[in-house]
Amino acid sequence: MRTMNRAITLSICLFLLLWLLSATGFCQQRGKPLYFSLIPKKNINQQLAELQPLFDLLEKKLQRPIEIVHPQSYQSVIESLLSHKIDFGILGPASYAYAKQRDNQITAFAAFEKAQGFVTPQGSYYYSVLFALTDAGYSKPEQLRGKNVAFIDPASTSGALIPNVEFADFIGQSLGKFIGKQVYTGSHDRAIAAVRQGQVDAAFVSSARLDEAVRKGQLSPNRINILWTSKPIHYDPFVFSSSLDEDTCHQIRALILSGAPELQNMFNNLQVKGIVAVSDSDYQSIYDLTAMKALH
Amino acid sequence: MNTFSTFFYGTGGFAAQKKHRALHSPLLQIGLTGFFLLIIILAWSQTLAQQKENRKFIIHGLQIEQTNLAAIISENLFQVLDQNQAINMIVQDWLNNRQWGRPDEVNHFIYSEQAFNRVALFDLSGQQIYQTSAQDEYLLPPALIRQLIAQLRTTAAPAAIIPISKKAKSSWQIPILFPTSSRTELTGAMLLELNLGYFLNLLQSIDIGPAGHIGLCTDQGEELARFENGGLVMGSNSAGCAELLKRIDAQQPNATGYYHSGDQRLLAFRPVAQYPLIVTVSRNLREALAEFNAYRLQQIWVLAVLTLVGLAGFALFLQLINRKQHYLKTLDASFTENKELIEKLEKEHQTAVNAASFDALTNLYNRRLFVSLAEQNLTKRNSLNCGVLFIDLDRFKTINDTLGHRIGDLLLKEVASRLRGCLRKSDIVSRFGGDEFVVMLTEIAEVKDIQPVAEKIIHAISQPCRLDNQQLSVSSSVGIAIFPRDGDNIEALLRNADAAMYSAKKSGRGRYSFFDSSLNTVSIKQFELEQRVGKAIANDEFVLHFQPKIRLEDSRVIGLEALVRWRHPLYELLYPNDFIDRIEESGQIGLLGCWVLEAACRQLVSWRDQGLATVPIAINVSPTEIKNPEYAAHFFQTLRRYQLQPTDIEIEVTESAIIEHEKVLKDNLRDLSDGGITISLDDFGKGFSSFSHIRSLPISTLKIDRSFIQDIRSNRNDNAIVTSTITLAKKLNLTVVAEGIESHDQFIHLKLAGCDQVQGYFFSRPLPARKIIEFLTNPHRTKSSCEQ
Repeated sequence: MRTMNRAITLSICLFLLLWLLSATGFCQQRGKPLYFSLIPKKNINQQLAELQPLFDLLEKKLQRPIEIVHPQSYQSVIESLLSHKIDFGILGPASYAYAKQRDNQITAFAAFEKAQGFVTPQGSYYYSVLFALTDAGYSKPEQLRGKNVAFIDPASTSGALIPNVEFADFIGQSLGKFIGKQVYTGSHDRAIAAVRQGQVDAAFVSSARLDEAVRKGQLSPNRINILWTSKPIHYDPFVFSSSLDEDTCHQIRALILSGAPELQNMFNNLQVKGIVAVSDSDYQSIYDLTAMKALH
Repeated sequence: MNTFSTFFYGTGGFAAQKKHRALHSPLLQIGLTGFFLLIIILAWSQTLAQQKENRKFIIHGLQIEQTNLAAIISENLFQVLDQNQAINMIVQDWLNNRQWGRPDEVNHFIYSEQAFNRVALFDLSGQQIYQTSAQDEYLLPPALIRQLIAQLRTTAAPAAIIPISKKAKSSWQIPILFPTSSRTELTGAMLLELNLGYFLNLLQSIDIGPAGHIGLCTDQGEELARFENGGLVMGSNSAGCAELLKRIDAQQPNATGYYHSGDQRLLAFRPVAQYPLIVTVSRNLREALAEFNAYRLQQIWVLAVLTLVGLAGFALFLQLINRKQHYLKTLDASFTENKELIEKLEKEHQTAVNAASFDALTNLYNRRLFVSLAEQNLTKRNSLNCGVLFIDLDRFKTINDTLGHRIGDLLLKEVASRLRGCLRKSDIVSRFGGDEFVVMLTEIAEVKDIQPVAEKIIHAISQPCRLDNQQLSVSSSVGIAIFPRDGDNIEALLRNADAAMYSAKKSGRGRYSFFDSSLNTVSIKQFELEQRVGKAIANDEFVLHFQPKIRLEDSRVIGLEALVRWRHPLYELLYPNDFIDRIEESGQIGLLGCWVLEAACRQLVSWRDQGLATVPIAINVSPTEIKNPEYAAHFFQTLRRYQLQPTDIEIEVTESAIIEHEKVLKDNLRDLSDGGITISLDDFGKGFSSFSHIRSLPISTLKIDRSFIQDIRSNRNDNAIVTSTITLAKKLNLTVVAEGIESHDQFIHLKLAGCDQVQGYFFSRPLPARKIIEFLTNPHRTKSSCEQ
């Protein structure tokens, strides 16, 4: 009995201690802003506006304000994550791989599951596609030799990494030699616009972004001539900075994956089915590619 | 329009043509062409000059735009890079305080900074002291840092750009090493990684054209990145860089510049102050001018088209002018031709008219014109007479046959000229053909004025003339008809004059003869006549002619006046004027008177025997007869002998008769009147008898003298005399008879004035007995029946 009492007392003390600890922890955390950033896939304000329901949910549930750090480039998001400027964010597969190389504590935990699009099938995968305008009359990628091609950001997966590695393998030649001029536009939207406006002859973009452009009527499907499609790429991961504590990580993960009704509108807007859990292993192929790129 | 007006409006048209000729002058056409070409040249030169100016202006605008853009970007980069000063202060502070933990302020700086991604700090040995985000050390080995620090120390440059490995060239980080120093002492170095995404976002909205670019170069001429085609292009040195470097070397450090590069580019460059970066703004000239060039081309096209249209229009204009000129010339020629034709026609027409109007030989009027002029003359309604003289040369045919037609023609001409010499201007002289000349004497006041003219003509023509050295004499015969007594139209007058001319010819050549025979005076040898009266009566040489008396009331023949004619074997028919006076002087008038009475009675009896209804015959009784106391007894005795009634014979006595021998005359007249004889007073108005005198005589009828009647047509005074005479006579219960009525006007006037009877050529001239039967069988007369 005494032993039982002691055990109970101990457990109560332990619980109290734990509670205190956690309470103090919570008290310390409450009201402290959480910093968030994401890679600039398109107009950054639009991207952030689309995600606003998620931020609202997190702020409400965590009782912490979400502060947005506006990114200048993919690299700036990586550096922000590495320098602990942000607590969590969305990276591309490649930029996740680059960041992971420099700080192994960074963790991918979730990704959007997309609905069926013009190019992209339903699921949590997309492709890097090389497209030109139908009017230009190209039928094979080889015809783009010496042409000006738009890319996204040196740290972009579909708009830099995949073309440099997978497409280079496909054509059996380094991209720098094959392509006349590599124009980095900084975002998928701008790359698509550059093709549309004839500033470049073709562009490597994310199939998901191309779908969106079609959906928004920026480009009609019959004008799009897909010349090359990569292997499937896993969607952009939500990642935690190595500086973020476990509990917060846990809470954020739970909320994001909860499929809360508040997020339904967001999903509809983004044309996504929902958010699914991912692990580091899902991006193994990208690690391989980055390693291969280093060799190129 | 002008062409037609020229044609139709004659001289006015000529003026218009002259105006046109002025337009068509080659000099003016050359001038016009020159002027037109000058305008075209001016338009072209002005346009081209304007375009050149515009191009210069556009290029100048481009220069300003590019230079400004370069200045803004370079200033922005300067401000970004110059933040190293602030970080340096934080870093120095951190170093001095020996806070070896995390330099939070540096982290805070990088959290809020967008242009820089990462900060790393190094000591003088090149060892990394701190970095904001983890990076593999092998990328920047200490040896490289050390070397760069040494370089910074020696050059005292504010920064050095770390050369990037080729592999990292496509990354958007530009690592720049800044010296960290406490006061003037160099303490180490600081690495700032410039994020080119910032550069891209800064420029993304700038429209530099598809071929333009904004570049970022090191001061060594190495291009770090360039904004082009809506994105960043890295690691491919453009050809312009070497050229840029030359320009920079040639100029002052930090100098800005603008140049026209070899590859059709306009390039503005501006170094970032203090720091080893240069901003370039480049535009493709062709591209920048594309819009202008298109506009210029369009302008040139428009001008070219306008020029062509203008040239074509002008050519057309000239062609039109020339064609018009051609037409005008043709028209002009045809106009002249027409004019000549018209003139010719007019001339021919005139000739034809002349031929139709004038006698070609004598240039006198021909028959046609004479008739026309004479008709005009006759329509002048006045009291004056006209005389138509028909002149025929005697024996002209013989002259023609013997001396030839030439002499004949000359003679005709001579006659024509002499005729003209005898006549007034107003007289109408004509040649009817052959040797027939007809003259109309116009406006003759008295019939007796005609006679001297006729004599003058005969005398003038009979004068000898010399033709072609031949002495020639010719006589002429003249027949005279008087308007209106011998006819009231020209045809009748001509016919009658012609007839008179023949009777003149018959009675011996070189004479004239009136159609009204009573006017013909014959110079008869007094002695011969006087001697022959008795014989003539015995030989029945005297005849009676009768002139009807018409009652105006019903235009009926109610009496005849017997007029004696002597058919003298030598002189044809003699009229009373020619012989009565002589016979009276010779005292033989009584004989003649007896014969007249006898003849009248005899005639009446003869007509009655023929079963004709007779009218009373009036005989003229001479004053000599009527002063014979036996006259009345003899008269009645004669009537009885022929078993005639006193109403069958009337007597007419002249005014002069009743003035003389008053006693015997009165007795005789009383006896006659008492015996039932109607007595008329002849030639009333000629003498001096007054109505009071007449009232004392047994006269029942007044015959107004023809001279008063002839004047009726126009003279109002005479009209008044006639009218008042008639009125007075009616008051005295006298029958009034008008003598010598010749025209319808007179007829109407007398009828209105109340005259009872008329007598004159208007109804009938005195006619032989056989011809007067017509009047007895058809006593009702109208003008038309008179003319028959």
